[in-house]
Amino acid sequence: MQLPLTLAATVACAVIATTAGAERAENRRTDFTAYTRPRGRLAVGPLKVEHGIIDEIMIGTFVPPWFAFPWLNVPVPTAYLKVRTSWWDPVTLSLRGGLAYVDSKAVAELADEQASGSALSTTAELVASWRIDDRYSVSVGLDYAHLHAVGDTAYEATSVEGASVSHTYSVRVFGEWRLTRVFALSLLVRYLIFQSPIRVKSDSQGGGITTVGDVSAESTMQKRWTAVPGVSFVWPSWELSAGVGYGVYYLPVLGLASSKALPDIEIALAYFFDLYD
Amino acid sequence: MCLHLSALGCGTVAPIPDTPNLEELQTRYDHPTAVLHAGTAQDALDEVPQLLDLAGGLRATPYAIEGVNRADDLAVDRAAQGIRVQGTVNATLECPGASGSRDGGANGSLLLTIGVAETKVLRGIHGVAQHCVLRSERLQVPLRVEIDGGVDFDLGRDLALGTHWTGRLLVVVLGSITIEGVPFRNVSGRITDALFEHLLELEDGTTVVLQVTEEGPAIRDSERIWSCSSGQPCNFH
Repeated sequence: MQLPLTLAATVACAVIATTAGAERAENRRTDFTAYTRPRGRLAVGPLKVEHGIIDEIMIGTFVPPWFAFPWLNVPVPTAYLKVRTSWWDPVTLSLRGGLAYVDSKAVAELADEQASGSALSTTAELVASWRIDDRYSVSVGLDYAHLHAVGDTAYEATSVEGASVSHTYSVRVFGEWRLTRVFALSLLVRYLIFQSPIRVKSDSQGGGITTVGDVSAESTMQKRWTAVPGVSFVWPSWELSAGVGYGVYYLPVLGLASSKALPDIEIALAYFFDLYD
Repeated sequence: MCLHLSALGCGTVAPIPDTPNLEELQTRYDHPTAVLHAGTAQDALDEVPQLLDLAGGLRATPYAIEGVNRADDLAVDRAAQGIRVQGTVNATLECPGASGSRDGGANGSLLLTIGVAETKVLRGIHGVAQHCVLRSERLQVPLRVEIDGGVDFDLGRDLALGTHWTGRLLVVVLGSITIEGVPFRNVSGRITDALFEHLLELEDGTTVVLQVTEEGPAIRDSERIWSCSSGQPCNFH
């Protein structure tokens, strides 16, 4: 009598577990796609934290800049908001906007020079994702990044060492081929459409000479393409994606593009769980 | 040195200022047109009796090169390989005065407008002097030099960023240059460490170049150089 009862209980538990797993919202990749975290989901990782407020709205932040004060003397706060459609399945559209505030102290550290003013980086992306079937999906996106001035009355923001533009427009195509429920292959291809010159106003005093400069700089050897093949894993509560490629490198958080071709590493790791249903 | 930076987020190229084009004048200095003989050579020299003073006074003007070098330093940070730099640098120099020490602007100033294009400092530079008092010397005797008004410079070549200028400087004083109380207006001179040249247009419209070297005055015409040492008639080698 006990054995059938035990079996029945085991089967019931398995059914319940399976059902619970099936009812749990699918954890779609949010990088380079139009998808968002489902309602109530929190994904926490060493590089970023994302939360689905509702199925169509997600907020997030990049983690490392918040902890940059040992090197930059101040944290660099970042935030982004992503909104998607839910009525055109299997096609999803999304719009994402992000901000990063670079305080003058951080700028001074980055630029190795005294600066009076701060910088505000804004990024935006428009993405369309098409889920062809359970295995294949493709996403097409347009990215924009801008570094501009905020500051006091005397000076506006500043240059960031290593950054070469103030406007960046690029497009990308991201394809994912899910081989198993856990494992998928991916390919990201990006093209830099436009990179504006960076313009610098500077003045110096010393030795009886005062100089006021208004100069601009732009790359004469601007590269355009980037390709990053990668893999991704999705477990019940963990996700990991990684890719190694080559081409124009886009600064994390700021979204500004390098003028030279560089090795490109994309990596994301997160633990996710549902705060509420 | 205090350096402030600011960047415009507009993403536009900086304008390049209009700079003086003195290449034609350089060519006239390079190729005088007169053909002299011994008598006319001396006559030509006598047309500029204050040649040595003029040479001493204009030799003070390379002080402006300090402003060019500072402008180069300002722009060179952006001149990495594969980067095109352009724009304008305005350099204001406190003039050091006859004693050679700056006095908080009491000895006037010299404002230079320096253009940068294709990652090079443009050779033509426009300056405006405001009671700029400089120190020079003639035969080791100090000279008080004051410049007022426009003064243009030609470096001889566009200067790649990151390289400080050396060479032959052409100076055109559009305003006035007063040397020990004697004013000169609208004069030019070409200066190196060892040689001073002054272009002289003769009555017949031809030109000669008067020179001051360590050996003394000389005249270069279209065919030869006449050496005119003090007390001796001009002769050529």
